[in-house]
Amino acid sequence: MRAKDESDFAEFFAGRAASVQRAAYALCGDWHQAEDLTQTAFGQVYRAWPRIRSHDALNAYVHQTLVRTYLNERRRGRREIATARVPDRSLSTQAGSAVDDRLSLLAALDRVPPRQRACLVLRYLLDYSIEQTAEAVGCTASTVTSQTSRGLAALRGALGDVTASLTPMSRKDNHGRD
Amino acid sequence: MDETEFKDSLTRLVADESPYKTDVASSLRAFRAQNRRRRMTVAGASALIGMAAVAGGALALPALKPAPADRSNGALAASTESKTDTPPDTKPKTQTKFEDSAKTAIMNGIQSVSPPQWTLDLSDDISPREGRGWEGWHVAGTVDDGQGKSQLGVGVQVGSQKFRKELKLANPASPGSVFEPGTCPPDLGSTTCTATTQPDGRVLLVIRDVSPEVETRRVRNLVMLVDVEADVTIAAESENYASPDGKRAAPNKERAARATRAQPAYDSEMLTKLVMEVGRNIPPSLRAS
Repeated sequence: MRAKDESDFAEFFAGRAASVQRAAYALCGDWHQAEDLTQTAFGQVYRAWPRIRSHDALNAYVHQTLVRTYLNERRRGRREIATARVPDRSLSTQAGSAVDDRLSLLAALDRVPPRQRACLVLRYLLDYSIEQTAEAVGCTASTVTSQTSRGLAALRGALGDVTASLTPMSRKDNHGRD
Repeated sequence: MDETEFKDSLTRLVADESPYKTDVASSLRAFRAQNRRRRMTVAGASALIGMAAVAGGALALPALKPAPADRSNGALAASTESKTDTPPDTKPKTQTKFEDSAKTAIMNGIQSVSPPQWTLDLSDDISPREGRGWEGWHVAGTVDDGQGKSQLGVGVQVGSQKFRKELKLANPASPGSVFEPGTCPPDLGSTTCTATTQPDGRVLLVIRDVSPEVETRRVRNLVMLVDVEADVTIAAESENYASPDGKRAAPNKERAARATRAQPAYDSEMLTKLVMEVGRNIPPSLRAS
């Protein structure tokens, strides 16, 4: 890679790594794994960097790489995930504090299948539209809709009636990206 | 909790924790190292030149003496019949012409770059055509220059553009990614890949692939001459390994192959000369097809 390319990549990496890592954490729920996912995603971007013609879509490319890496790893099965997980707790007893709210949400997200979780993170954390989510996950828009709906249903099941008011179809498309 | 609250909860979930401090310098070093080590996923590249099953009649060329033309053509015909189960009288004549001329071009190309003291144990192979949209003729086997067995494969194929589109879908490193014929494939983890457009418009791809496994350190040199307009691809590859029986390892068995030497017998420069020579010997009718 040329020095100019490497310099550009370093600038992009330094500016985006923290944000991408937060998205990775929302996907996997573990900061150490989030770091691994982030490194893997940026490693792929690094390899492709000299061939990337339009840097306007870099954020989307990084997120796509991140999501697909996450899904691939989940598909292969990472045993350390099971041993590193916070043990299930009674969700109904955890309300009342910000920390418990986080733990509740994290535990609930852990019960959502990976593909559905990816759709939720892209749609609700990164403000991706259905079409953008479909492109990142590598599926159709209708699949995103159904996966999001099922993901929210799984969340409802885990959180009880806390998220009962969530309805994916009422969510307006937001074409902005972080 | 409504949608806004859910979104806020997600934001708090990732914001309340302290992200690790990104060390740009060390990460860049790691990326560079990964780039050097990463093995290109060339199940595709190997399949590109279509040597998956070397099942034809063996053409032993211990002294690189060219086989008589009639004998080689006969071997080709026999091989074709066994692979395609097509009765000779129903076989399109044009296809036989292509196979013969391409095979002759390949053999001439191999002999033009191989020193006479080298021992070549090569087999011919016909790629299945039905349902693939491409066809090709290939010569593959092992070469021994006195430093150990090295794999060699040379192929000519028509319909490569369509085939490469199939490859991109099979590439696990970048599922669904798109790349155009005559360009370096993206996200294959290629250690090095350069694409050079020739004066006649054809594109020369020079690829070098080193596996990440230190104990095996498989090295593959691959050169492809791609005529996008005519949809003809000429490819040559050489590896520093062979299967345990000394023959060419099938692509799906390559991961088990151990390096038999430090470098492939043919470097990129030799393979470039080889594909150029094959290209010169291919009939104009094939190039224009």
